[in-house]
Amino acid sequence: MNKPVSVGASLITQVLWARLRALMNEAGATLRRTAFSFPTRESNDFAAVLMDVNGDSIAQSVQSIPSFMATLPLTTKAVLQARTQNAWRPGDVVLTNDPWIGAGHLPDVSIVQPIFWHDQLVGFAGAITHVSDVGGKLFGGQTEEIYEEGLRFLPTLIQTADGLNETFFDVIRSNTRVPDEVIGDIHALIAANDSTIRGVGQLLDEGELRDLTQFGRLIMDRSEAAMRAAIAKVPAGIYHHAVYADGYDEPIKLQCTLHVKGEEIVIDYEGSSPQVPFPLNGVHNFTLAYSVYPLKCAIGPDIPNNSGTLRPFTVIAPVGSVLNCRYPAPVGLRHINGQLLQAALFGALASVLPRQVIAESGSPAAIAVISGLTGAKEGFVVYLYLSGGMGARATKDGLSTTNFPSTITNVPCEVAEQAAPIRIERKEYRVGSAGLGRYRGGFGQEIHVRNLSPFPMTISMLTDRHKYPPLGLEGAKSGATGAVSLESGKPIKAKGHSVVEPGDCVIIQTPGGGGYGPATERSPELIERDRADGLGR
Amino acid sequence: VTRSADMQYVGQMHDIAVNVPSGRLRPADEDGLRQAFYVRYRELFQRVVTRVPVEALTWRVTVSAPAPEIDLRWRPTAPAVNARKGERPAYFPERGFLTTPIFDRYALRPGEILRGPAIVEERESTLVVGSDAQIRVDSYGSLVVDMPANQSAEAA
Repeated sequence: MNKPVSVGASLITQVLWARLRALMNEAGATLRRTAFSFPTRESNDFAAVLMDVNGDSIAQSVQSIPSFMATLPLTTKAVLQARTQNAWRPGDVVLTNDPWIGAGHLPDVSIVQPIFWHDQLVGFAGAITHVSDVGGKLFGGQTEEIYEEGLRFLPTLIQTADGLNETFFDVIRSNTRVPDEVIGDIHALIAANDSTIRGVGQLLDEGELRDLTQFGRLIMDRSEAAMRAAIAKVPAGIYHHAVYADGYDEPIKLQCTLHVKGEEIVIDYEGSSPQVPFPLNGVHNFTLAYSVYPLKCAIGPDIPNNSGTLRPFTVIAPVGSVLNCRYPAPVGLRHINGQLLQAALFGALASVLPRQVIAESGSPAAIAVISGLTGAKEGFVVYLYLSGGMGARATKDGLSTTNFPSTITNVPCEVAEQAAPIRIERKEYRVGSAGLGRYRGGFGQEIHVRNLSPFPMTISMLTDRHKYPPLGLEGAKSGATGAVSLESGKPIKAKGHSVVEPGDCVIIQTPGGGGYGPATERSPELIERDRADGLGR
Repeated sequence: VTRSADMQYVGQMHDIAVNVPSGRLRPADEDGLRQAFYVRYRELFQRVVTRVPVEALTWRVTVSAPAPEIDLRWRPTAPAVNARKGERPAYFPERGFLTTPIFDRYALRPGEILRGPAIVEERESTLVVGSDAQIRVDSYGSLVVDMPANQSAEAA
């Protein structure tokens, strides 16, 4: 980094960087356009990442889930341990959905492919998405061991230059509820990586880029330097904060301690709850991803996401804790605690960076997975991602029905209704859910989903914050807690499977974001604006 | 004339445009269409998925021809004849029933002036003009209704 860089060289760097980002966006678009499953094609639950020969990430598609950007390089490094650099051949495709190697639960399928240029390995293309089904209990079910959650593949060669590994695809075909969707998504992941490989080849052919690894190092070093400079502005010290998740039988504590020292931050989760016999356990990859990304949002939002950005951070989560569980713990709903880490981290920083953090958000997003029959044989699996409200900012209201820190988006009603015998009778901002304050939190939502089919449907709910509301900051009020119920008054679980009888209607309310600053200081203009919008009280 | 279909695998959300051959489509053309989809899909995404059914959501026909020269100036299409087709009693709130002449819009000529009350009929519309107003036909064939200055509108 100390070498003088000429204006010409820096210009070329900028042009190459823009081209790399464009080609990764193209890979992302290919994935989205060829995908079959809801999470990918509607909710952006995916990422496409370009990595160097060591598995360090250089660039990724813009429409990517923050956690995936961090986990894919770690996945690739793990794959490289089993399959060293000289074992790869052009055309190889390796898949894994192992939670400990990948992104923390089985539906997240990672695919890694080598990039060869003139018979030389120059890097790796990686893509990951949440597929609709991996067998086992329907996603979100109450499990006690990973084995109940479906098929688990340690890194597996599923395609070579000679063709597909048909055995692998037969296993998928005969063990999943919607095999066409799952296999279609696997093809979409490969298509995305092929797009990356083609684009990188073009860049190398044109001679602009001589070596991906060297250029990658430049990008990573610059990102690292920028991240370090940003951390240096945070007052040094040790900051603690704890938040609680609803859990199943009893609350789960997420305790964080931030050691900010110079240009580095150590995040320690000592004191968090031990792993539980419910699918709420996280793995280290995932905990790392959901720790660094929100901190980057608060401290250095403009810095690109790559392995360089991650270097100044160290994440320590005790082995055997709910944030770093031991195999074979169940992990299906690990995103619930993962998305709450943000609240613990921002809470710790609130005393020193009050204007750079936001109040607690109505995260995790509620997820409802609905499965059933449309006829004698035809089955369906539909995902509804339902965001809560974001926490208020120091200078503005929180965003309504927006997921943070994940970037999952809501599934359009029409799309869900087309894919399943359901009718969404209501979907609206939940007036009164936003935490009041000088700036209010974002609104959560309320949605009514009716079963129109003559068959009972299984609904798998993945929700939290029914007991612990998103707290406000600086004297503001909390957002409303979430809730879920059936019109018939029959019982329905906040986490796990319930039955929706024909004609019955599920009512889901997502939490609102916490406010910022005393509610008495809210400006009359903002109060009037909400009233005019029909959102005031 | 070019024909295309927006096609996708059943279950996907994004479709791609595939060219459809000219002529009448028969059941026997189905396989050719599917192959055309595979070819285009492979061009775009470098691979195809087998064993998943393909569907066409939208059928398009594009017909193109040399752009005609368009002159917005109106030209009378009918031969110059008396535009007055007849008369009928019409009700005006201020005056009650008046015997009102009926005119054929297509027979009116630029520069003509008609006094109300009058009814001008054309294919899409009918213009009713009160007794104090006057109609001018301008050089584009538009009907310009001049109302008496001190009275509210009578034209409907």
